[in-house]
Amino acid sequence: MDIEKKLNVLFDLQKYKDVLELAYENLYNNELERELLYEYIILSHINLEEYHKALKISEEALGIYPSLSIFLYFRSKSFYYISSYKNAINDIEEALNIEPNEPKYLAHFARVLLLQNEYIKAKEIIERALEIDSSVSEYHLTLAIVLYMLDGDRVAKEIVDEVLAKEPHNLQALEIKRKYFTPKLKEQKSLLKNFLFLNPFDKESQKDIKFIKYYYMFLPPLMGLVLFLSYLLQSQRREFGFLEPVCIFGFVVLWVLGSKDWRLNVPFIAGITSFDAYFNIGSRGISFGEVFYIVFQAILLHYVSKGFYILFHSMKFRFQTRLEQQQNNKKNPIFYFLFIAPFEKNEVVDSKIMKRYYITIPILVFITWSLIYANINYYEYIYLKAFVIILFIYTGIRAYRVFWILTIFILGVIFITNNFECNSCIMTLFLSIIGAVSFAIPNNLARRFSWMKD
Amino acid sequence: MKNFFLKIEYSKLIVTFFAHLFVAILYGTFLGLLAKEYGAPHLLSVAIQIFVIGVVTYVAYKEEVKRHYPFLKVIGVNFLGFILWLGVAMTKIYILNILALVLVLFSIRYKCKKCVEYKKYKF
Repeated sequence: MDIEKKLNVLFDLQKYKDVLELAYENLYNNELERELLYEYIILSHINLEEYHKALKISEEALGIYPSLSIFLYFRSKSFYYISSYKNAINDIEEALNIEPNEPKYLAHFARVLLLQNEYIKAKEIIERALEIDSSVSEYHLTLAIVLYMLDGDRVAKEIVDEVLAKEPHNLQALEIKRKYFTPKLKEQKSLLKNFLFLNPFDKESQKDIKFIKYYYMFLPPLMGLVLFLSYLLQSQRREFGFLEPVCIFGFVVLWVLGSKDWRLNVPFIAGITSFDAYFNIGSRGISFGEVFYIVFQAILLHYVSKGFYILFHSMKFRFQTRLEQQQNNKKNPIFYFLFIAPFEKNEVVDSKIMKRYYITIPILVFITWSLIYANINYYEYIYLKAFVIILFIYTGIRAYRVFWILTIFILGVIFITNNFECNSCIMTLFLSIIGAVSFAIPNNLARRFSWMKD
Repeated sequence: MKNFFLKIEYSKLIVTFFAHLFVAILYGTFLGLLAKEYGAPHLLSVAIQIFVIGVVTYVAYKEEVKRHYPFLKVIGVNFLGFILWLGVAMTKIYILNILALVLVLFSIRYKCKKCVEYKKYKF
């Protein structure tokens, strides 16, 4: 059997280490097939997640074959995986100059642009790829993600469904469907089971399935316990006053964790706030308007908790990305996190879900503010106000530094003119306006002021 | 009928409603007041307001379902509506507000450079 066939078989069997062994053995003996051997070596390194090695070999191959676009494409891919997107774009553009109608290159270019938040350009590029070759499901899925990012949820979902109808075991399509188009946990669980059936060693899916299982197993009894404790606290405050920190801590933790399913979270929040309201009002009794208000507030708080959950998630994601970048760049971790990361331009953009909350949270805050302004006094909004303020300051830092600086500046002016007394109504209103403006500005516009960006 | 309600993208509808609320309320209120000035009953004035808000939201929603609606366009539409309203107020021929509203509706339908269409390809 000649080397090419052997390598092909081993590669199809995903035995990348064997491919590498065989290819390296023959690389310097076999001048005729060296180009092919380089391709196998680079692809195997990429599949083994050894991106730096793939990069090194691509550079070596480019030194021998400078006019071959395939090695530029491989080098761009290696740059892409080590999150060096500018280099990835330069290489793929160069490869496209040599071969402008290669759909593989176009699709890769679109994927890099997607991570750069260049959705319009990414759409244009991926459509070019699809016009040339529309038989590859991967291109359709890339288009689906681009459309999803451009708010074309329905069409994106239709594309993913079509791909799944054609290829029911397409792992990428299943992943996209679960991530973007399946908000319900139980549906997610069944999709995850499918996913695990096809890919039994996927650790993330195993973790997610466990999370859903434990979510429904432990959260309802824990919520019941906290409700019971808060009832005791409110009804017999003298005897059970010591329960207050436990109740507050339990409420905050379960409130954020429960945000995954409104059917659990809304009754829980409504229960806690109604005990509070009932025992504060005392003998007067709760009116219909107040019941409506409690339910409305529970829904509002549910959405705020959802925002928090996403916030924690994105922070975790961000931390992981930074950690990976740090590992790739081989920098000292402490030095990196203290002195480099805060000033580094963040090229990886958060998910669309985060973007959605840029719009919904200011609206919610505005409603909250108007409720406070409407003088509904029985329930003090101290915690809610504190959460809102923290949320705004965080997002202000995250999104556009200039608005954050402006916020701090004007807040300082308000504090000074009020003799260092904080009028919470004015502050909440002010923050909601600043937040709305800073959230709503699209990323494309913000990129022009990239020096201001986090 | 059930299909009709299932097809509506409610989150998009809510966002569109709030995004164009300023211009819709501006013209709705003004045209309602104008009708009142010509002697129309109070209820008709309210109906005109609701109708204008409905039309603006409907046109914007139809546009958003078809193609991408950049945030700058939202600002542009609201700003144009406001400028036109000011222009009409300066001329003091208030009936021109109807024309201004039509222009606003056309601006909502305007296909900008970034208003890319949601399109899928056959396998």
